[in-house]
Amino acid sequence: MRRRFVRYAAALVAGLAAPALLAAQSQPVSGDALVVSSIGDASRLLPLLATDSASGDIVGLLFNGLLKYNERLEIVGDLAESWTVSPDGLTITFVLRPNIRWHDGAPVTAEDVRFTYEKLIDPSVLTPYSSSYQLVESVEALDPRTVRVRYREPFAPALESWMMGIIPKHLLEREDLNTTPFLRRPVGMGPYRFRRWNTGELIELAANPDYFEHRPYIDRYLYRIIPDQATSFLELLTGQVDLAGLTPLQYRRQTDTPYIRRAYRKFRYPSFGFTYVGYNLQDARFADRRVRQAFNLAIDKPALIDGVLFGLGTAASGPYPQESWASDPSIRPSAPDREAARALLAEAGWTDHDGDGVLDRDGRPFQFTLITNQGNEVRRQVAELVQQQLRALGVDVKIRIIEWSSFVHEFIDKRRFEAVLLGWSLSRDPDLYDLFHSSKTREGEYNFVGYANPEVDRLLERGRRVFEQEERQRIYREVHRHLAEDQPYTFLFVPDALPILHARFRNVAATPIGIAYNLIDWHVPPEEQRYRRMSP
Amino acid sequence: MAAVFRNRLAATGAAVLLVLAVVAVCAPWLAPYDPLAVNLPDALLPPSPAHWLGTDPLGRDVLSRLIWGTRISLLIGFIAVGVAVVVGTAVGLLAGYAGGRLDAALMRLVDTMLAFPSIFLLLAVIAILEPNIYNIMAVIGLTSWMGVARLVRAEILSLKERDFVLAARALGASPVRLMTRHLLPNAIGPVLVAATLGVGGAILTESVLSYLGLGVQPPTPSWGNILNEGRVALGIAWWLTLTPGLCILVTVLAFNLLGEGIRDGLK
Amino acid sequence: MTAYLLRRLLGLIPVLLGITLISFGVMKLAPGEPTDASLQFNPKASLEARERMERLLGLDQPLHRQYLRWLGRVARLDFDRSFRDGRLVTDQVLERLPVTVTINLAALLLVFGIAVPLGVFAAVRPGGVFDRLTTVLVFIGYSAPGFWLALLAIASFGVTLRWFPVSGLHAIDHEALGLLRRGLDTAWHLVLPVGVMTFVGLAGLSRYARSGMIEVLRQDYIRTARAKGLSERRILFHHGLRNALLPIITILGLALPDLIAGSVVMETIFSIPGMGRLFYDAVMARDQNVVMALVTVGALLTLLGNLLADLAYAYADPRIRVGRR
Repeated sequence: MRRRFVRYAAALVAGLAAPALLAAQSQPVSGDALVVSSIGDASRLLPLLATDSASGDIVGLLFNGLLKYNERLEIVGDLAESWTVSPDGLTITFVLRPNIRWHDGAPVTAEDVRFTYEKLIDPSVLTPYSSSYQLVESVEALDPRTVRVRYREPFAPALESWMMGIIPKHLLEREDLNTTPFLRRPVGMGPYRFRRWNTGELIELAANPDYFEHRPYIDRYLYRIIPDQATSFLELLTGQVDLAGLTPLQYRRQTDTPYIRRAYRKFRYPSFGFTYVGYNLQDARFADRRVRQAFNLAIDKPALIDGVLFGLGTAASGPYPQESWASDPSIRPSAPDREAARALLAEAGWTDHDGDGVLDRDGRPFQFTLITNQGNEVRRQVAELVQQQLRALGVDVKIRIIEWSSFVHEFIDKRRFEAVLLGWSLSRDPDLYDLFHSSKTREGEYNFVGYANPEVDRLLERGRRVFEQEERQRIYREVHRHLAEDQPYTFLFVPDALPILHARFRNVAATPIGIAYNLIDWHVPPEEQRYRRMSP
Repeated sequence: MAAVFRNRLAATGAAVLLVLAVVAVCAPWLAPYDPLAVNLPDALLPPSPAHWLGTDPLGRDVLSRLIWGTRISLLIGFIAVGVAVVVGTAVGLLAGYAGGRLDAALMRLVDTMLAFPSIFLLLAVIAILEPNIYNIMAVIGLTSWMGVARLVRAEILSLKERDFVLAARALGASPVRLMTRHLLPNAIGPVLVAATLGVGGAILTESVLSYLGLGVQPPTPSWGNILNEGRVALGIAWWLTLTPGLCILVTVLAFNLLGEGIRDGLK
Repeated sequence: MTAYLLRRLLGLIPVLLGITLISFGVMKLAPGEPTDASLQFNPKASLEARERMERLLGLDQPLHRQYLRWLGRVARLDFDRSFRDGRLVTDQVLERLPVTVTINLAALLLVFGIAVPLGVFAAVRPGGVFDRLTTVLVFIGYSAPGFWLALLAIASFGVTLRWFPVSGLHAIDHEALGLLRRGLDTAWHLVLPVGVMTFVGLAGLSRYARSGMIEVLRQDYIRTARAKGLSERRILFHHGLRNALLPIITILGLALPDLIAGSVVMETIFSIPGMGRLFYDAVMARDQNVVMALVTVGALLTLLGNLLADLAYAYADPRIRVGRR
């Protein structure tokens, strides 16, 4: 236990020291504003209720959790100065940093943590995140800086669950969390303070001078809501937006103008998620593993990435990106091999008996419908290329594109599909219980392909109970091997995230966790600052 | 002078529509390329002798897509209006002829439908159904029949009391015969005008639906979704936005001028 | 007259009920629940969490009970809360209303100010050069997709020429400006959206004004006025226009649903946080309380507009005062 603590504390110190060193090199000056564009508006600015990406972006700057990921995807302390996990894995004790204050000046205490937990499990609060806390037995505030959490059974994803932003008890104690005015003028303890929110137009945050790490150099954070993608790009062309996400097409072809090359910097790093084709394993044709393996060999993943993502992605061999410690480096994405695929299908009884170019078995041609949701251009194009590639194998694929809501309710939930093209974006913890455990197949749950492998079930259950990193790595690499062998999905690729940022911002780097992890250390040299200083 | 001019504008409209009809019918022979053939290395080429109107983000030939799009867009326009005319005429005829309670009830229905923002019905219904071209035709038609219904009803009301109708009724003509033989043919003029204007309206509606992502689904080309797909590249490839918009503009303009011409001719 | 008015007002009730029923039915028939946006395909949101949220929002109740509950609240002018952000729908609407009303009103005034004179002058010499030119011009606005015109306007005036801002309502530093500069800033941002909406709206009104005017100019009293030697301007605008404006009143009442539809597209392109945008987002997110409120209020306003137009018409033209309908 002692040894473990020392290691965590070391990681914490390293995480703090690195940005400080960088900052020293370039003498940052504070000032200026960062203008970010977003397709959608936020809805509720409270960590417990923030479900859309816009709310998540803003809440992330206003509130901190006890823990966070650093740029190397290691868990480090955030509000917590240190934490210890008991040897039986049933108790986690957090010690808060001294002197953290809410934006209104009140101290952040262990009581706030307990309050946050109570609201997370309160059945009258509209939070979708309660399930991560089901195994918690109790949360106690031992003293103003110490919180002890007890679990009924060991639960490794628990550490990630304590990245949830902590909310102020003294302001919310008597409020109905679902409707409180706090949702529209939140008070947090994070690097930025809330200033104003013009619905559907703009959210403005101001640097928090008392932030416990240090005051962010960029004075203001402006979140502009620009619902139309074309308009958003035109705003970029006129320099009215500093930070935006690009599509692969924009990244490769449309940002090559002299102005953008001069005024902006483009970044590229793998996103945490993957695109896949999932098969309904209740369908007799797909229940045969050889068919799934054949499809994996027949689909040319690099061609998909080149054709649809303009090369801006990585072929996938399983659910984890190559950078993840849970990914087994010995498993490579399969090289396309049509002959091997054909042999596997022949083994499974699928050959072209009648010579019409389509494989058949028992007189029935191999034909199925691949469905995907409407409104995602990349998926539509991937579907078309997969169709072409399987066609060359002698499998006749029809494509059907369906509006999101009915896609989910009428097709996925009710298992009315043969194959589905979708993507998952996952959290950094490698736990895949919800996706592949055989118990998660009820309507509305996420193992909708109906994958059931007792060995994977056992591994997934075990993976949630151990904290030891080496042990978890061993477990999830084995999960990875099983999934690569069983192919319940054809794992296609991991797309890259493609942010573009105005070049006046310094001290910015792409890391596995993105570019914004050290936002408080970004700065603009005084002669390049664009927006005037505002009195708070 | 005025009459000549009116007819000249209308005649121009008719001529444009004739050309478009030929393009729509002969699309397979006119289009220089396969409108669906993706060719990524050639994406976003500016207009050139090989691709007169350039290529789109997937490297498809824009001219070929527009030519095939003519077919889809005109088809949507005509069939949607067909639906609207059939439903509207039936409702108007019934209401005007029957009068009384039925008339009142049907006109309440028309009022109700007119008071809806049509975009709501369009969005909601297309969310329920899949946005394939048949559903889009049906939905546009079913949200635009009210004008025709009112027109037909008004015509019928005024015709009903005219001598030739009264005479036919006195001679014992059945209601069906009365409606189809005497009332309808005389109400056809205004309906024709409304229908001509309606085709243009339906083409515009499809383009708005495409803009909202609920129109004809790619890769099938309609002018609306060609425009919408090109829009994302507006900053660097203006031809993708300009040409499909011009096609819609010219076509709808032609329908409107023709409709106005017919209306003036009827007076 | 009072009896007529009362009868008309009573007649609105079944129409309104029908509208709420249809929109409720459509929202419920459409696949998807208001909770989807936050919960669908979010592996952290368990099935239990989702069921709990539906229970809290009353979505597990039978449909007729949900509808009656809604109707009961609306009768007390309470439109309940948005599922998306938990705010009162009334607050949301009141917050968005001013922008949309301002833009539409500005566009409407401009349309009136431009279209009516255009129509009047075109009517002086139907078929003349002026008539031909304006006919084609206004029809171009009417025949082009509005969002296309908007994009072209942004690309040329916003990006290439940089005369006007690309989108939005305020400059980033709007708050720091003085009152006058703030007003100018907003007006400057509104030029493109209002301009495009005006151009799109010209055709209807100018055609009405033109045909109405042609009709009126044929009348005897115009000939009398001419014979009296009144100036042409006075004849046109004093004697002629007053009578030609009548039919125009009626089309205004019917214009409301179209304005909402137009606002959806314009507000999206120009990043304007108005009612149209609210409506579109609500439909797509199945935020049924917001959708129902907007449809009901929109329909009510449309119906009242129609009624008002009829009354104005009846008042101005005694021939149709009695016995209509």
